[in-house]
Amino acid sequence: MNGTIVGGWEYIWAAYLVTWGSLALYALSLVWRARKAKSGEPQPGSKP
Amino acid sequence: MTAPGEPTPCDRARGVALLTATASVIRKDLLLEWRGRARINATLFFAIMTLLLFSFAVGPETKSLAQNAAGYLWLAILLSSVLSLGESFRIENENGALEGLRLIPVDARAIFLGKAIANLVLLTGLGVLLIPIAVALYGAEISAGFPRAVLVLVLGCAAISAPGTLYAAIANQARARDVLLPLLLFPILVPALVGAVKATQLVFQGDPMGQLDSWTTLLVIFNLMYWLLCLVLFGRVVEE
Amino acid sequence: MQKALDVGLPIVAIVFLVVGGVLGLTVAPADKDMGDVYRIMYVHVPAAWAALLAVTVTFVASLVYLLKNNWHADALGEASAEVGVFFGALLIVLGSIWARPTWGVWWDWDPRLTTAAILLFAFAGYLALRRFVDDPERRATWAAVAAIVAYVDVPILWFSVRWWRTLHQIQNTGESTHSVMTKSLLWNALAFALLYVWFVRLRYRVALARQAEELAEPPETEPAHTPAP
Repeated sequence: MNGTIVGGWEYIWAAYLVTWGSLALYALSLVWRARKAKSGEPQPGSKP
Repeated sequence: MTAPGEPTPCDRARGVALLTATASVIRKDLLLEWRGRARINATLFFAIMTLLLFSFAVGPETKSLAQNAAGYLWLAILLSSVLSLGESFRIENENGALEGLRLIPVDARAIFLGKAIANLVLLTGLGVLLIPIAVALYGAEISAGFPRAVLVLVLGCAAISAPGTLYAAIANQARARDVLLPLLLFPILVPALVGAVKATQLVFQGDPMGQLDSWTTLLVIFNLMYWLLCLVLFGRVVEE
Repeated sequence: MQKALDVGLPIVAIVFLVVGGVLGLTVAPADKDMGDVYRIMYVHVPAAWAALLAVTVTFVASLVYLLKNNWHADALGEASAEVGVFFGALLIVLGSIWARPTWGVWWDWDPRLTTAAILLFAFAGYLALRRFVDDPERRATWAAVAAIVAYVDVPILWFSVRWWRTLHQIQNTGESTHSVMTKSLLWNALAFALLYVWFVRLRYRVALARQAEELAEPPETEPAHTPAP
């Protein structure tokens, strides 16, 4: 490791975009699944 | 088994009972394996074939083959172990024999120890047959002495057997058991694989830096950790 | 309260992410060895912390389940494991993106990153196991066992990879602490922690709903909800 690494902004942007994008996608999928679970919940619960 | 301190007669009797039960599980398992030895033979041929395949995949360059002999040997043992581990519980499940054992009742710890030791014996036997083949095939040689080679082999196989027995008990009653066992087992075996391969490499190539002991220690620690942990957890796995 | 958390957590987390991003990408100075590339640390390290937190929560929840047969612990373990696998996968990808400009390779056998990768597979196995077992009680017990066996592996795994790779220089994660650097890391870490809590809450609800569904089903197997004495 000699000297400073110059540039590499494309990697930085890639890293941040991957982070934000995957956080958003996972959040969406979780919200969707939680909502689906919630709407499905009363049915089995209401059975005797 | 002499416990530290003063073992009461009751403790001793319980220890003896555990040992007898363990011994009978070992005998039962090995007897079953011996009766179905066609399967053992098939596993052995599978392992040898794996060794051969590595040579074809990596190329006939003898130098690199000799260098990596330890790695190929352990991969062959690891891949075959999945076959033999799965088998050790398949028979039990097919006719509900495991439940029968629990109902007699046999201590779950005895079942675990018996099965794990039986698996250890089988794997070590496989390794004993594979080492000369690997030596011949890859042009490696045992330079650290025979006892050391056997010690490393036994420790490595024991490291596979303890968590392997626990996970085989689980995977065999789940769906997709063939893929589940390696999926669960291989990740946690990485330290053992690294230790066994490095130690075997030093056994093959000589140990100028005196590192063999640290790798052996790593294997011993892994074994202590997992034999104890799996012994404790196994009861919960087979409970009804 | 529940509603407030559901809405508040993601909003606060996004605010923190934005602040952390602005600080990390523009305000914080370039590192004197790593140049600008080190800025990946501000998302990489929080991802690692979140993943470690997640598997630790799963481990503790698994212990609680085995000791108390508590079904909430089972649901929490399941939720946290999945979130942990998500953060772990993110961590591996970020590590790979960081390794490329720094060492010129996509994968470097750094002990921490390698341990994380192996652990990721172990917990992916945990999730697969949950999928492949139908009986709820067996699933909960076996999954708890698998989580404990995998978690206990971490220290020895880390040591073995480190010994295996002794030639490798121990990676320096921005020890040269500039106060802005610490601040950007902190903002991002808080954002990830909040997101972790939010994710687990959502996923926990999915797990609870599935449990309720299974327990309400006509008993084809024995009822699974009898807590052992």
